[in-house]
Amino acid sequence: MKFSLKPTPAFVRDMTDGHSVLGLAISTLLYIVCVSGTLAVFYNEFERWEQASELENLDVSPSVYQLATEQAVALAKEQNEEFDSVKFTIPNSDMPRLKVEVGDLERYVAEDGSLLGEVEHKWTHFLAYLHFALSLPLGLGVPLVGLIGVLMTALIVSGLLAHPKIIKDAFSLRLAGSKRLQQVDLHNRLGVWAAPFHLAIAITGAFIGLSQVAAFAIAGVFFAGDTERVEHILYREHPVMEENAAQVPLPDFAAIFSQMEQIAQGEERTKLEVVFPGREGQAVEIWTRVPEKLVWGERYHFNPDGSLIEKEGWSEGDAAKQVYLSTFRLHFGHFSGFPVKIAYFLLGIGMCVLVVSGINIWLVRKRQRGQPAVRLERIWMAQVWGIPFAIALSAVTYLAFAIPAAQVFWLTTVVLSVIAAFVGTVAGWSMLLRGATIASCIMAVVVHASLYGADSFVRASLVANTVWLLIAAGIAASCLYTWVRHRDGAFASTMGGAVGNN
Amino acid sequence: MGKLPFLRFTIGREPKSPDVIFMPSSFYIIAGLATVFAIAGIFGLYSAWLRSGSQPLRRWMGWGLLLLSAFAWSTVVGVEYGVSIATLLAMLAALTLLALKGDWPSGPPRQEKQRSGGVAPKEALLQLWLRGVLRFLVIALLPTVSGLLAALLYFDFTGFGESARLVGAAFVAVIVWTLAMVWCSADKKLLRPSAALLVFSLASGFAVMPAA
Repeated sequence: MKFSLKPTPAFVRDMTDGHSVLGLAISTLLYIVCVSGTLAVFYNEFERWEQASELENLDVSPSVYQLATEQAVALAKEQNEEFDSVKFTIPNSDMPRLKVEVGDLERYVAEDGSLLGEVEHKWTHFLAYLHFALSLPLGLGVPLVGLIGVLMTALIVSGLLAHPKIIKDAFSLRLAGSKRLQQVDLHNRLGVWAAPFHLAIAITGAFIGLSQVAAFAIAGVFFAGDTERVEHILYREHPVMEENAAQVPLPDFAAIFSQMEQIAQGEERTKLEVVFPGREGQAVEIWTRVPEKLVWGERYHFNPDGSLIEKEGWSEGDAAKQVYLSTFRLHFGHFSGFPVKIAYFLLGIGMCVLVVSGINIWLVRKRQRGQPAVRLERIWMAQVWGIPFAIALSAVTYLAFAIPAAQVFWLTTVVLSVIAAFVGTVAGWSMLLRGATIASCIMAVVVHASLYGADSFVRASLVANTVWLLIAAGIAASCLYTWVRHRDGAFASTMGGAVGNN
Repeated sequence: MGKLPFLRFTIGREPKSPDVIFMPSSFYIIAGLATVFAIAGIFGLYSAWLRSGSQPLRRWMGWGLLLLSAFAWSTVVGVEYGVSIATLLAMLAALTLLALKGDWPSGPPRQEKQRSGGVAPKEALLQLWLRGVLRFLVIALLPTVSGLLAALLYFDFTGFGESARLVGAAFVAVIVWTLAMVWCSADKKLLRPSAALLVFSLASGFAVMPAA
């Protein structure tokens, strides 16, 4: 009996059908996750863009932390804010602003340690929250997006298995063929060549989203529901403060930073947390970024006098912890600086095109079979361009009128989908919403420039505004291409008619 | 090796750090070579697969150059970043080559042929919808249960350290979940994967029950 690894036509047909079922089931949600994730690659830049004129300074002396901690504690007491720690963002290459967080209050810190205005990153947080929880409550949204990650992984696996001529067709892109051939080639080439990126994003996304579910299940079965016990397998336990702990002076920040210079040279400091500030039993934690490692970071625990309690060891030793903590940077594209962010952004756009072309193939196939899903085609087109439009519009309305971005996004998306179900044509919706997206992207830059003036075109704001303008330019180029082809079509039919009349 | 070349914009009104971190010249030479290897590797595969007949030399040269690119990147930025960057570069090089060599349409859009009629009877459509909903429910439910139970089995029965069992269990959950979904979505006989996953789930449930 001859053994062959070549898939049979029946196997390929079954895989293709399964691929279609999975893709259709999650099309819109997957597309929202992909579009928001592509923009969220520039999460840090968008955060800084939202408050473009805030002070940026990488060089902060330890005494500033001392004063800022005192001020933050005083502010929390004044506003009856409950807290058990004061957290700082240490200015770093991703976020070169000193910020302090106590309870739910978050403020910028001046170079002399005094507190400045409130930290407001509501639009960026909307974008990230849309990506990882679809604006749903965390407990529901994160596992749902994790499930979408699993479905996406299943789509990639079934897509590759349904592709018997993977090598023969590897460089074939027949865009001049029939509509179905165009979409199939686009879908398959993007799917195959960017498969490592898609798999990395889908698996890490599923892992991040569903690790909590797995941890709950393990806690429920093996640790009598004690989820903290499971959490502490990976993370060190926080110290517990005794009730009525005595007041003591704040930690010696100069000694702690001096110790850090000796033990963590070359690691970029990113966060500092004072647990139980000014109380007996207080401790300090410093987070760093470790060069050449994908792990999220390293954490150092200090006594108030500056002596090291422990290095947590995320970046060395335990391989399982390293694997777990490497999933985040791999998913976000936050390693190796700006060039990798650009690569993730471009491949993210490719992933959006992959999702769109997948659904387009199904719609074209239905049309070719004589069963066109006209209403569904219009709804899908309204979502394909309506979702980027709604995101850009939410940025404009948030910047200009402080309208909550999630409401604008969901209302726009739902209203457009409902209207498209009843009126218009696919081509009409495509052109209208492409135009609207271009206008919204440009408006986002115009409104930002009117609010922040020259600060709109330096540092991170330059990056964020360039992203908006590049998106507008890309979509404008696609409109121009469509217009030229239609003009040629009209010209050809006029000429054909003239020749026919003669 | 120090930091990577962040494209850093002027910080603050009185910049206290350089706009761009300059790396030693050896970094740029090796990184440049590694980039050239990635592009050449993709081009090697392109020329091998485009020609008729087997082209083992070109094919292996293509894969070899891609590996060499990953190795060269790893020497300057470490293995973890190096492999990631080389893979990203290879993907972008392939997609750029496709875009450049692609058969772009220039004339007016083609008139698509469409079969007429073919509207399925309402009962057949309803049956199709019901089958679709049933299949989706099976895809959503059974692989979820199987994935989570596989994670519990892994955590309970492997003899590694606690963190390896925990992280491994989460990965096993995702992998089993995914493969079960592929099976449920692709198997025409829905009863087959359903029965198999149900048996697996029940057996796993009984196996981990003593621990609960």
